[in-house]
Amino acid sequence: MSLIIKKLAKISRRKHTWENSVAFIAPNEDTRLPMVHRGVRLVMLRNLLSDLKELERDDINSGQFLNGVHTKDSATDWQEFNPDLDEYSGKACCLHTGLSIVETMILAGMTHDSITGEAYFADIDTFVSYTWRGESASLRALLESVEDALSADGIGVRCHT
Amino acid sequence: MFLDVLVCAQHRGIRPDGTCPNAVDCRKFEDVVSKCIRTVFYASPLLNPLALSRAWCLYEIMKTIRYGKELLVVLSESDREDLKGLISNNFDRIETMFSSIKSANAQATHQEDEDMIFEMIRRDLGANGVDGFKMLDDAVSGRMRAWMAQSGAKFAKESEDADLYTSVGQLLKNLARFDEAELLYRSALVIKEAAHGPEHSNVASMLNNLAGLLVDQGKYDEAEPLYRRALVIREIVYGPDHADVAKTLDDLANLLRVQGKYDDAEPLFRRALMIREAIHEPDHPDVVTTLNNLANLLYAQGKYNEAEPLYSRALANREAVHGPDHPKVAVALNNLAHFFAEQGKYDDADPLYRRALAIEEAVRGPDHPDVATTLNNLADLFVDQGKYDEAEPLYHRALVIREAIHGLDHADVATTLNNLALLLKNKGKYDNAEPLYRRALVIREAVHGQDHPKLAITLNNLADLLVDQGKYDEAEPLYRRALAIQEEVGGEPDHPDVATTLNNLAGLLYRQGKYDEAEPLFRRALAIEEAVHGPDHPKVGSLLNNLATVLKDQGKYDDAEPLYRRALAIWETIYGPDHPNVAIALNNLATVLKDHNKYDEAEPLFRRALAILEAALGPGHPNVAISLNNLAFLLRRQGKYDEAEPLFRRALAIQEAVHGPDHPNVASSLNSLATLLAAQGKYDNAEPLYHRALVIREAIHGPDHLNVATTLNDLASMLKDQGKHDEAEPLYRRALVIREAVHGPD
Repeated sequence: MSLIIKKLAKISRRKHTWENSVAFIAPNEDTRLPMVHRGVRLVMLRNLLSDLKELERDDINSGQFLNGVHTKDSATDWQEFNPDLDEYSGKACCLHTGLSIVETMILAGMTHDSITGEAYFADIDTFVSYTWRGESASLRALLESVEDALSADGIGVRCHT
Repeated sequence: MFLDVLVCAQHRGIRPDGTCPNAVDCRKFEDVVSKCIRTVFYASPLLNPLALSRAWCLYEIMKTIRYGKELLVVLSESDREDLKGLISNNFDRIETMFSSIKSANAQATHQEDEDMIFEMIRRDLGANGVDGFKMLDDAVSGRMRAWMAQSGAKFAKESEDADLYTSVGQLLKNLARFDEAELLYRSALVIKEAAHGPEHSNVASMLNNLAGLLVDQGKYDEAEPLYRRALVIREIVYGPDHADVAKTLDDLANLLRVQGKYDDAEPLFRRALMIREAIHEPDHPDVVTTLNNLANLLYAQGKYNEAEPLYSRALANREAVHGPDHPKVAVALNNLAHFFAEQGKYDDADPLYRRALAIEEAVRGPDHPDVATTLNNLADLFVDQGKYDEAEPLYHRALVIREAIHGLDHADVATTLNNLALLLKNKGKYDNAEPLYRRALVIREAVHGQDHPKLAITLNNLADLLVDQGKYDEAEPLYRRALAIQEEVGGEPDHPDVATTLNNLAGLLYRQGKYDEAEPLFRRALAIEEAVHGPDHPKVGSLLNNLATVLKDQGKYDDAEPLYRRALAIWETIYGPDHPNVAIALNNLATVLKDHNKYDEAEPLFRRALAILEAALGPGHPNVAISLNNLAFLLRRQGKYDEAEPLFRRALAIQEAVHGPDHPNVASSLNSLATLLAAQGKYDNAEPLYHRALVIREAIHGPDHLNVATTLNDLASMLKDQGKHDEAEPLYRRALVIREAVHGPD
């Protein structure tokens, strides 16, 4: 059962005129949740991975996740964004807020795993640097690797700068 | 964690106040990185990490490094398996995979993002003429190499696999992490000996690898028996003509060459070459490697004409086999550049060294010992051209690298200290040079013991410095200690190093006017060099030159002249007609002709020497100043004062420009010009120059140095010529006291 994506898409469709692919203009900065408090926790990643699997989107990359499975190129995907072609894309899910997925989830009250009660969000402690498009840029592979590396017996390799 | 795809607003809508939530979020990345504990860098696909070509990712790594945060590199599951295979089987790929990072070529989807990031790189990392993009490339590739090494070490620890130990050991060796590499190699050797017995081919391979690592660390005495054991095993297992036997022969011969055991090395190289040529095509990399090594040996033996084509062939072959940016190409470039530098072909050497340096910095990272070696070589080249200000920072950088990699007391650190001290000595900064020599001496005593030939080299260098300071009494015991080490402890009284020290000691005695003591030492050194290198080696030319100078100063012009002519012939043959050393020989021969009153024969030689030096070194080089002085002296002797004066003045200007106003060479030029002006009766112009020369010489050499006596004497003579006998007399007396003290009463 989809835990995040379908729910967000449903809210967005209800609150935003679907024909209008231009997002709601986000509120002023001082009313937004500061960036450092928008950190996502592993439980949220796991549920997102589960959603992707259920939606048969195992192989999409971050660019497709945001702009739509039909998009192919970073240079043009933001122009090709069309909620009618992919209602579950990240931007489609946030049309009604003009904000990030994290902020949009918080506004929708989706702050905890509905089964375990674990919090989805926390202060940011790990910056993830990656590419949105290209070979091996599957969002699933990225999220699994990050999860492995950050879990207790992860197999990422640490390198102190 | 921070994943921008989830955390940042992605719509690019503009608010009425002109702000855009997406743009605001993107500009907070630096702040976020600074507040995080770590950055996770997703490096898949392994063989071509896309993130390294993206401007945003490089920017994020830059900020991670800048804020001293942990960088955690992660791979996809399939890439993690591939990494093991890469470390085990594909070192060439590992060598070069991070050298292609070029942040200046990185891209962002939106041009304004790219512009912003590039501006930050220029501003934050590129201050004071530093190329910010190169700095970022170096930092990122350095972190990626460290990650690769750490991954390898982790895999090795988990595996207990001797082959993986060996592969990771090689990886660590390439990263100059010698101690860790040695540990893995020794563990692999133990495993292989236990598995196969002590005489198995796998054990021989491991012995060979370990010996090579020890050579890289300068542990020659430990390496040699390992090579010899590997050789015995391989000969038993494979027979005498196998490729692996040739490999060990080549490595062992290289070690012997480095130790100066040329006669032992040559037959091994030739045997290795014979085997490799029988097995492979003439352009096979193994054949070329041995040819290259043999070229190094021929070069060390002074057989330059035989060495050059081998060096060129090695470079062309390695470029063809490995591509233009491989570390092996850098080694070949270094060799050929060094060869050109020694030939005085500085313009040919310079771009080769720079290309080698660029390759090594890109492939190995900016702090690798190979980079330090090339920095040293390039600095040596600058020193040879008198470009001291360009050389000094390179030596300092090499020293920093070597101290960081090897620690403060490593033999390579001592080498750079020596080089830097020599540079400072040449700049007249004797006080700065001396502690460096003494530190090098302490290191070499600790590393090599009291009786090692390398210690003798530093003793020699320090003694040279003391000689330049006029501290002859302090210098002499150092030369004699160096000589004792080389003659008695080294057990090779006819070694070329003995000849070097004999030459230096003889030079000291010559400076003290002890011609009778100096002459036999020069003759003995000459005999050694002729026996070791043959009659036409450049070192033989040097000694002929020095011996001739002693004979000339004893008034034995007829004995000196043929020696100078022989030295000139040797250098012209070896170096070609336009080499700076040829100019030295021309100068000396011209001087003896001048002293023999053969002015017409001397003048064209002086002029040819000057032309050579101006062309080879540029018009502002200190050796050009010496040559100008020589010609000016001849013209003065002929009474051609008007022609001499501008030459003296040009020489003075060069010395002041190169060394600053208080260098002993400046004092010499002042003295010479003053003497000329005095001879023309321009006493008022001459006197302040004498006084300035005297002040410099007393400050540099102390009040009792022979050079001080010279200026006192010349000044006294001028005063006498002016009829100022009362002023002249105390100066004459002081000069007499100094000369009696230095030379003795007779």
